[in-house]
Amino acid sequence: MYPIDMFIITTALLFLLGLTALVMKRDLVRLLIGIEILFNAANLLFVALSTQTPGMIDPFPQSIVMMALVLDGTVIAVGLALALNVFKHYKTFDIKKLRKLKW
Amino acid sequence: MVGQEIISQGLQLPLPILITLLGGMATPFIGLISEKMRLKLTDVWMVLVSALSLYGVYTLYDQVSKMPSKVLLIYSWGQAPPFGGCFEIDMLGVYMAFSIGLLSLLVSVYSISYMEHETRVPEFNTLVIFMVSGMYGIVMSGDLFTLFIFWELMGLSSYVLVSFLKRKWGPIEAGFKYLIMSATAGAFLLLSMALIYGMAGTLNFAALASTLRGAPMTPWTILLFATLIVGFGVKSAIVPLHTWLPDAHPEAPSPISALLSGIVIETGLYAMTRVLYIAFEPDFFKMPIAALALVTMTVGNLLALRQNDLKRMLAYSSIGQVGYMLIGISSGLTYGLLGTCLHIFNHSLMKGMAFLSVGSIVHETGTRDINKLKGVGRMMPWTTLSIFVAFMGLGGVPGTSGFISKFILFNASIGAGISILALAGVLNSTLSMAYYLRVLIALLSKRTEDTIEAKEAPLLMVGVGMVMAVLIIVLGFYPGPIVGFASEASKSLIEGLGNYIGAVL
Amino acid sequence: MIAMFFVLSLVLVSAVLAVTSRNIIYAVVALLSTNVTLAMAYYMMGAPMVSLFQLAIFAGAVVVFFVITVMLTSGGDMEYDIDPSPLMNKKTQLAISAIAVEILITAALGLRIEFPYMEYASSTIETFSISVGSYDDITTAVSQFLWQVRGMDLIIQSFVILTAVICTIAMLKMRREDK
Repeated sequence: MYPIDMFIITTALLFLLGLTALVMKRDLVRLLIGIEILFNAANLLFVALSTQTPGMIDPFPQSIVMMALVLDGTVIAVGLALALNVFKHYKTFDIKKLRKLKW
Repeated sequence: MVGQEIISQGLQLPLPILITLLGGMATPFIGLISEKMRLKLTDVWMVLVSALSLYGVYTLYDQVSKMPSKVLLIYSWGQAPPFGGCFEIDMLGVYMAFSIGLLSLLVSVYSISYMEHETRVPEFNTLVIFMVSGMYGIVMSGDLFTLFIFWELMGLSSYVLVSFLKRKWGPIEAGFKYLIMSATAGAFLLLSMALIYGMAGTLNFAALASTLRGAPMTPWTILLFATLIVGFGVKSAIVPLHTWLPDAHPEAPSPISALLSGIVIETGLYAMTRVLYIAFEPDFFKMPIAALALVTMTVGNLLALRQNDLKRMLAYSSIGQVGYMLIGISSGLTYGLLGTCLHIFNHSLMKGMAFLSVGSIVHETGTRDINKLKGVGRMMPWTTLSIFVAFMGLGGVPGTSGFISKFILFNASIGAGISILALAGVLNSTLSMAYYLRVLIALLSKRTEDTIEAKEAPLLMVGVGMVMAVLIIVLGFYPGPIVGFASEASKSLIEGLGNYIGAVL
Repeated sequence: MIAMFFVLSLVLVSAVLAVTSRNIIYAVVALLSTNVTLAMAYYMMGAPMVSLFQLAIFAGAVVVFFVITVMLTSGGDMEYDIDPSPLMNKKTQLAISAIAVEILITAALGLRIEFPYMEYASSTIETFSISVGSYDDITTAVSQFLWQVRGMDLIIQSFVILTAVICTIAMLKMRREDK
């Protein structure tokens, strides 16, 4: 139906955005937002592959994406539980202030 | 109808996975009962489940060696393997499952007395059982997405197990860093799965080995290779993706450090090896993996020299050992893979024992600083003896099993034509003996006034250390059975590829 | 085609806003809008079940978790931000989103990315593709495929969810001895 080029470009840009968020941001919650954008990018590429044959829909990638969505949701939920623990101890989310373990 | 088909044909899983999954599901209920009765039933249940799963591995070994093609294919109701998730178990899978089962049994016995005075012990035991179940699933899976599901199962339990002692700050920071890096790697893995599906139309290992394997080097296959290395490399602690490891392994409770360093890293390495050997020809990845092996070995061993924290030094030493294992993978020969498999088993025993014994010291004295532990060895003789045997094995002294696996690895790298790896390996081994000996000297020297009083660790902890020490020394002098097992395992990956494909197609 | 361009550009703009917003509540709302527009894109591509799951899990559960975490901890005062970078004002956000959308449009119109689709696929393995009928057909076929062909993974996935629940309990349980 749709040519795959724009989906690949969107996936690449979303990947770059997610990696930028992971590298440049100091807030723990923003790191988790970056990870969520990364997962969305990977799922988008998968679903785009199911629409490639003209006139047909391939159900295999859609099943994989449905299961991958659930797994990604659980990972982010556990990450948020860990972030809540960080806040309970130190009342801030800043990783620069809390960087105790060095070389 | 769909509902009737599920009930009539049933769900079939390999026996160790079934035992650990059901055991892990039952553990919270047993924890509830044991809280009411004020007994510690969940610890005993964890040991029981580990022992039963090891027995399950033994039955699998029987089944696999009886099949003429040495490959066992297990799939559930009506799911045709090129599209459905399946378990394809060959000798390499049984070998890795044996290592997992052995180490998890020993660590379960150890953690009965280590976690005696901690809170939330039923959750700890549940998560350990689920982590072991995830590892069994990874080594037995025959399909990339089944591997991913078990990968996430193993990962989820290990994030929380690392930050389990949440009273102090260290474990929480280490657990969060580990989670961020591992979740990013999971996203890279999903991307590589999308690329594989787009190029080959299937995610099954056997089907991939017959179609994608001989592909020429195009930009898309290079991208696929890069995302696979990043996706699996974070869990396997390959430099430069290793930065979570020196924080996570020291801060975790000692039985979890032993499991993580001993077998979780190696399971990640197994998954990478399996996918690389299935999807690419060995000439494709020989040079990049050799370069990674060189960098990993050197960085791990060099950075271990400047550590004053006992467990952190052992964690950096784990990174160095992963470098040795990568040498065997880069060679592309059966002989090299024999060395890697043997080193995986030896490293799990030796590094596991090192972490468990160091854990006894930490449990008794409460500190991990080498400078404060001068002379503690004279007060804890049995623990120091097991640390001595572990370090001799890790450094590769002849007479322990570590020497044999290192010898095979360096020999294989010369045979593959990359002799610089052998030279670097020998230099790194001597370097590693330097920091191991430093610890031993500190432990056995005379007491200073900073030294903390300590008595010998509880019986279970010392007993496990002694059992592992005896195993290492016995395998060093009579390596026959384990080398035979490892050679069957390594043969099944390279020469048995035809049987692997033939079982499915 | 134009509609799909528009929706994908909305996804990119929302993602840029989610990463670069100074106020953390705005970032979480932008994340919500990213997930919702991505679900719309999935529906337009012909994957209604995936769109449903995306709305229910990502735009439902996960964003609610984010809002709970942020509100209960520090975002209660709406101006909270610990990344006070002077570059990330509204003009930079608009500039980055405009560049992203422009790359999207030029690439899709001019540059042809040759993705080797099914180049190494074996011709002996039959495919499961179904023809595009109404969305009812797609829904029925995908859900049947999911249970018949990938059912074992679904059952193992339920254990992963159980593990995640026990993980969260282990992390957030407080006993007297922990204080």
